[in-house]
Amino acid sequence: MDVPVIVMDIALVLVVAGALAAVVRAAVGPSRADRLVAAELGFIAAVSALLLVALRLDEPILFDFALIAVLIGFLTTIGLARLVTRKQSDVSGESS
Amino acid sequence: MIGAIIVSVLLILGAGLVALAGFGILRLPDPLTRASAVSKAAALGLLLIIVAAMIAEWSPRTVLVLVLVLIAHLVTVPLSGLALARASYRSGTAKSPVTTVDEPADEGRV
Repeated sequence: MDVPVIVMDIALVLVVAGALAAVVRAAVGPSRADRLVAAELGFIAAVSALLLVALRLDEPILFDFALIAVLIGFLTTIGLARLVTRKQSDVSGESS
Repeated sequence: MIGAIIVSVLLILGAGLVALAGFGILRLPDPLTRASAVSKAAALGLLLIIVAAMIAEWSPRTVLVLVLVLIAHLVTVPLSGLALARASYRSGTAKSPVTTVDEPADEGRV
């Protein structure tokens, strides 16, 4: 199937714009939770870019990497969320 | 021909949703709304891109791998969205003046 190359290029530019927004939020974000959310968006943008590159280069083997990336990204998000929860409740010590 | 058009529309919509999540993460006021923007918009965007790749590379092996990616993504996105929102709330920094409803504190189970 001959999807136009310019369509994949536009889609890649849009995905990279989302990733740049995540980088900006991770840099300026006032709390750890903001940086965690930015990391989640960066992960989703990375998997989207991986799928788009696999389509652009016509390399179906890259889809396997997307499967592994989705599973590892989920574990990373859960672990970082536990870390954010415990760190700041230990430091502040108050619960409301 | 019609398949190429469908794939193009799905790719642009999916990438546009990821870009929209980036816009939301920059503009929304507190971590709870940002987590909401990411876990809805970006999740649907990645879903559309996976479906587009499935239509474009239509062979049994590719479709099998992409169906596995789709299932893994659909199962893990609500859980990671819940973990993001819970971590934002429990870390105590999620209060914005715009956010007025606080059900866990009202019900006394913080």
